Amino acid sequence: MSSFAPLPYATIPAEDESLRAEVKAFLAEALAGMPAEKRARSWVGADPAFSRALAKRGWLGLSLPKRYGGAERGFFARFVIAEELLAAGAPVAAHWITDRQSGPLILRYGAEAQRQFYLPKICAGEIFFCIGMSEPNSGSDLASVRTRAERQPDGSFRLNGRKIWTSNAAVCDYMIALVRTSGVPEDRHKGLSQVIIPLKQEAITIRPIRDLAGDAHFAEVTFDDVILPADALIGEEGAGWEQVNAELAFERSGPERILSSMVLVDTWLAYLKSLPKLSTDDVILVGRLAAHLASLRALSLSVTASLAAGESPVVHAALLKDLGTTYEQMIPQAVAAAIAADPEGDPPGELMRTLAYTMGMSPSFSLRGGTREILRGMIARGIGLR
Amino acid sequence: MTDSLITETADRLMADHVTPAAVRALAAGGSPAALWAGLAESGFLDALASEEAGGAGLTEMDMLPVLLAAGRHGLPLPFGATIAARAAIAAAGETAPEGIIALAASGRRDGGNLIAQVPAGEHAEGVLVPDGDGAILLSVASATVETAGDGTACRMAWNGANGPRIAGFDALATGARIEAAEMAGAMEAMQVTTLRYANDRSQFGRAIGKFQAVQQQLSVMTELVHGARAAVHVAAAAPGSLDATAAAKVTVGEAAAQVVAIAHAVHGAIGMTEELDLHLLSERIRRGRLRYGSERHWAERLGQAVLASQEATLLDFVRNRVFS
Repeated sequence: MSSFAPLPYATIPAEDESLRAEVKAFLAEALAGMPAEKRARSWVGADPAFSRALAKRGWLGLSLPKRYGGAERGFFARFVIAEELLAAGAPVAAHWITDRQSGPLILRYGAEAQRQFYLPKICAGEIFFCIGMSEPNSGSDLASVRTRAERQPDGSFRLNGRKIWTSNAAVCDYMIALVRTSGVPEDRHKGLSQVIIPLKQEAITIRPIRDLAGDAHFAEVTFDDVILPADALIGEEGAGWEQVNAELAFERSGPERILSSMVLVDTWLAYLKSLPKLSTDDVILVGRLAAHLASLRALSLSVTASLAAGESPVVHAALLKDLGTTYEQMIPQAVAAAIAADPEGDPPGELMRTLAYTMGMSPSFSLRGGTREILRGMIARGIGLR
Repeated sequence: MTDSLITETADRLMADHVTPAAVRALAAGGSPAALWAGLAESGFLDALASEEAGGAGLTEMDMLPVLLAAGRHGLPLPFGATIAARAAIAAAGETAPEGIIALAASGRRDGGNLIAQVPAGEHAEGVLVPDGDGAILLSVASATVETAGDGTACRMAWNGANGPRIAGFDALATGARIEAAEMAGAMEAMQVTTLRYANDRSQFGRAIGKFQAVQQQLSVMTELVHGARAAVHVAAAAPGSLDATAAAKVTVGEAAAQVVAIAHAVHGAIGMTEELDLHLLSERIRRGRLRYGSERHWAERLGQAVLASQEATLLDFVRNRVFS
């Protein structure tokens, strides 16, 4: 038997699958007229009004208990909605991280008062969170964080430091940050904690960072003597490393690690269907894209089932993310080669703009949420090599 | 039987009978009789046949662990094929012949002859050959048989082929699904073997598995093995979906090429020797890729299905047609 067994096959329960038709109908209306190159941005495209419209339908905080305003529907309901939002290219960035990570994190590690305060607002789409993990010069070495939250005599924290590559900090109300509450960077995993930081205050500077497509979803966030109350601490002091790793299983397991290039695929398929004659190479590529999507989706469903069972499938999530982002990155390269195979071809501008955007951004697919090499290191540990 | 019980039973069965020595003996042209008798006694042969027909009424999903176990041991006999054939023959109200039944990948009428490509046909007594919208059950004894020489398939020809018709049975797709599952099993065994070797073999004063470059290769191998397993799960869950079978054969075939390459790279030169068992698995996978249509064959069919469908998105196609 395998020393690192595959997870069991999982399917979506019928009551969760039944959400899909309603989501599709909502999206058909909400996204009508939005060009493909804009939809291709999807989970880096923030639109708080769109997120609140989803909340009105009860589609945020699906896995959270009803007593906190959630739908108590579990992870598969969220999976169905996430799939449809991403495949359609909906602008989900405002609430995405909040819904996927911050809500479940607060539910799992938060104090009762924190749950009661934050979770209903999350479910209503009233507040959005970003995550503060990376720092300038820390890169993939997450354990090297230097941002410090120092305990004051009255129990409050004094926060100083800087976070970077923080997605959507500019539209968010709070950050859940990994910070050092004791020791020095050389202590690595020890002495790290997670704190909730209200972002809209003077001691915090948010500097947008433009990407190569001209969008500014990234930001650098600087903390200059920020005072946080004692109850800003989430979970246990010093347990930040373990909590962050559990959180990353949520971040790495979802359909967003598979579907980032799907708007491009569907735009290309529509173009192919309009052609009088198809090349065998193109048909084969279409088949390959469908085949790999199927196995990735099956892996993602299995990881979702594991999360739903309260497990923390960290290594399986890492494995899925690496396979999934490899697929996402292969797509623009292969589609570009297919489109340009015919110098006399006349592809529509919308397709070419979508290709240009997806191709330009595709290197980030394997960076965000943990680089390929780090993930492979985690898998190596999972199979007992480290 | 539960999934884990079937897995345990199948693993024990294969470990007892499908030894590296037995696999080598078959490759050298030996008789499969003793090995087959052991497998036949297991009771798995009629597992897919309905209970009314004297079978166990298990599903393809129930039986997936058996195919994976067969693959892990590099079984070169058409065991999964015989199980599928017996169920189809029983469902058609016909009587299956004793012994091994192979599934032909193709059947071509040429005048009064029926000509078929039959993977693993050299061991079989009966063959289900595609013919029109179904298959025809023929005896190997009445065929002229040429082996291709590389172990992939036999060319068989019947003059005035006559036998029971099994309506609606798709021998090519069934063969592809079984082959993909057994290849996924063989890839799992390769990963375990390679991992063990990486821990045992020292170079430059430490186990080669401690080198980051080797670790990254083994991590990729693990990913591909998991992806292959997921693909055959999807196909076993939807045996009526040609698209699911196509997706599995493509995914497993593409992954297999990389998995075999990584296994051999990590083993170094020792992996190229005859005495090491590694090549029994590479050989099983090599044959699997060539049988019942390659990745190109199935990707083209799947691509045509996508482009002909009315589904709004590729995800819709995959959800509705591959997962069903």
